[in-house]
Amino acid sequence: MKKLDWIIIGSVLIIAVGILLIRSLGKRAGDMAVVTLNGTVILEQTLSEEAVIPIRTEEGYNILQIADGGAKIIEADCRDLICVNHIKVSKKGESIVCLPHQLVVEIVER
Amino acid sequence: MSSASAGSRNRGAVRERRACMAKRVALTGVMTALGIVLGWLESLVPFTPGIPGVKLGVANIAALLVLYRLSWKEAATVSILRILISCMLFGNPITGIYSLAGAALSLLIMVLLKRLDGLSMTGVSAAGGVAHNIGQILAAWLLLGTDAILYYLPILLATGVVSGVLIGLAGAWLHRHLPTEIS
Repeated sequence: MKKLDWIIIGSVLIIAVGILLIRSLGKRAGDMAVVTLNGTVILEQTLSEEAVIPIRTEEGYNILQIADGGAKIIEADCRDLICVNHIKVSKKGESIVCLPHQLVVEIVER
Repeated sequence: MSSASAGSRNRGAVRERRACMAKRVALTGVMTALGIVLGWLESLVPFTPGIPGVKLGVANIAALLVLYRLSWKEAATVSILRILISCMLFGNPITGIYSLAGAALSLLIMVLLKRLDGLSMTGVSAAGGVAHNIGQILAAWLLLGTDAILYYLPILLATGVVSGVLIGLAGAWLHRHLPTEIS
C-alpha cells in the first residue's frame, strides 16, 4: 500500500469517529417514536407507555414494542431481519430501519 | 497480389479482434458468476449487525478484479448483472435498488481514483467501499424520505473503509497471482 492509501483510510476513519464522538456528547433521551413508511408518517407513539404494535406494510409486517422508555422491533417477516437484530433505540435521533419494507422507526423529542 | 495479402492480413486482424472480444465476454461472464457465488456464500454466514448496509461484500472482489484486468465497462457489467441476478435468485427488489446505487457510486469513484498514480488497488478499493455505503445511504435517504437514515452515516463510513481495504487486499493478491492471460 502507498502513502495516499493510508491518507484516505485514515481520514475517513477520523471523520467517522469524530462524528460519533461529537454525537455521543450531545445524546439525549427522546420521548416519542415516529414510524414512517415510504416517507409518510404512519404512527407517533409516546415512549412513556408500554405497547406492542403490529405494523402492516405492503411488503409484510413488523411488530414494534415500546418498553422501558425505548422502541424495538421484536418480530418481522422481512428477509434480512436487520430490524429485528437492531438493539433497542431510546435516544433522540436513533432509528431502526427495515429496508425491505421501507419502514423507519425514529426517536424524537417533543 | 499485394491487395490479396492486405485482405488476408485484414481478415487476420478481424479474427484476432473477435477472439479478443470473445475472451473479454467470457471473462466478464465468469467473473459475474464468481460474484454471484461469493455473494451467496457470504449470505450463508450468520452475521447480524442490526445496521443495514454493514457487510463485507466479498462479491465485489469480482468487479474490482475486472476493473483492473479489463476496463470499467466490463466491471460495470459484472456489478449490474450480479446484482440483478442475485436479486432475482435470493433477494428483494427494494434492497436491489440500494445495491445498485452503492455499486454505481463506488465504481464511479474507483474509476476516477484509479487514474491517480499515488493509489494502490487497496486504496482505490477502500475509497470504493466508502463510496458504496454513501451511495446506499443517499438512495435510502431519497426513497425513505427521512433524515433518520443519516444517523448511520458515520458507522457506514467506517465499515465501508474497512471492508474496502479487505476486498482490496484480496483483489490485489488475485491480480498479482492470476496468470496474465486472464485479462
